[in-house]
Amino acid sequence: MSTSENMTILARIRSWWKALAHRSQMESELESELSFHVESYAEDLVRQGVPLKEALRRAKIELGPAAAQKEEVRSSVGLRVWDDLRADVRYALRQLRRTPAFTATVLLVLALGIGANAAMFSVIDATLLRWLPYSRPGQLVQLTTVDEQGAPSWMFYPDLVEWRSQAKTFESLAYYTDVEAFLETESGQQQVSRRESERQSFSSTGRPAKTGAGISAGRRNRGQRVRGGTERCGLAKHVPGGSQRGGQTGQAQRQTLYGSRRGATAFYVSGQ
Amino acid sequence: MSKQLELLQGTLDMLILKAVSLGPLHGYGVLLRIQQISGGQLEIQQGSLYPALYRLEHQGLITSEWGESENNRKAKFYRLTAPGRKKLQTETDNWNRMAGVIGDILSSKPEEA
Repeated sequence: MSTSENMTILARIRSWWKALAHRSQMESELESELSFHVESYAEDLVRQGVPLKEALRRAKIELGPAAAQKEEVRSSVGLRVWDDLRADVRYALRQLRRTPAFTATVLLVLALGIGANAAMFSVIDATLLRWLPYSRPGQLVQLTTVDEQGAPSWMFYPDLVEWRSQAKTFESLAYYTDVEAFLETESGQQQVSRRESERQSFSSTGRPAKTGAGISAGRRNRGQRVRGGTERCGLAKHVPGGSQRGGQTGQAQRQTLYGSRRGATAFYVSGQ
Repeated sequence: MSKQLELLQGTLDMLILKAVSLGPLHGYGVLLRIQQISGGQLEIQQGSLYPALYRLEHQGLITSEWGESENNRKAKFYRLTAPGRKKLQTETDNWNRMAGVIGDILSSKPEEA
């Protein structure tokens, strides 16, 4: 873009802002200009022998009504669109105030529509658009095993250990599993959702655990019964009413956690 | 005196730029200068003068400042800016080319067609 074009763009913005912010001043200046024009023209007509009153009348007629001139000038500097928009908004607001039932319906429909769209976008953003909150998320993959029919099947930790010893494609690999469990307390049982994760999974993803401790290889394959107890292992995914017992996440002290593994998944960080 | 010609649509801006390129002028002065240069042959609608002046100022092609007129009255004077000078040159070139082409077409004879 040339300097000349830049100057004209700046001049347009300056002129538009001046007309918008100092409208009364602009209109007052225009009135002065028009008065000067009419008087000067009338003087010329008087010099040609036209009577002053007639000269002023002719001068005003030839220039046209001041209101029309102002309207044309406003349009010239781009204020027409702004004026029309402002008038439309004011008219719409008056109409809405006059019909409160309709207004409430419109607002409700808008609120529901916007809310639904926002919720949908949040889901799409979190699941499809946004990168996972790990270092090098583009190199992170999740693998599951399938049976002969192609359905997801169990993955066992010894398999993973075997793969880890032989894998050359991946920088590292780690294991986690989801557990459906019940938290037994003095006041009764509560269903909890729990995730067990290897310590290595945190180093692989570059994200430290916020609470609890990772499960060491030595604690693998202890059967279907999972005891949280005082061993301080695993991470609770969701505890109903969890906000009231936040300090217990993954570290139940005087409670017992029973559960069964729902499935097992390994994920890898590719080194390629 | 022959009948005045009506200004062709879209040419007022060009004529205003030319008029103020000869020196700073107030609105009424612009009108007089164009009529003077044209020998009184052009009829300019006075109502379209000020919207055109404000439009050109909005486009940054002319600039204005308040001063004193020849009869000691307060008046707004317009002058050409650098972009305005460039625009005037472009418009003049285009006009001359167009006038030449139209002139050639209109002056062509049957055997040349």
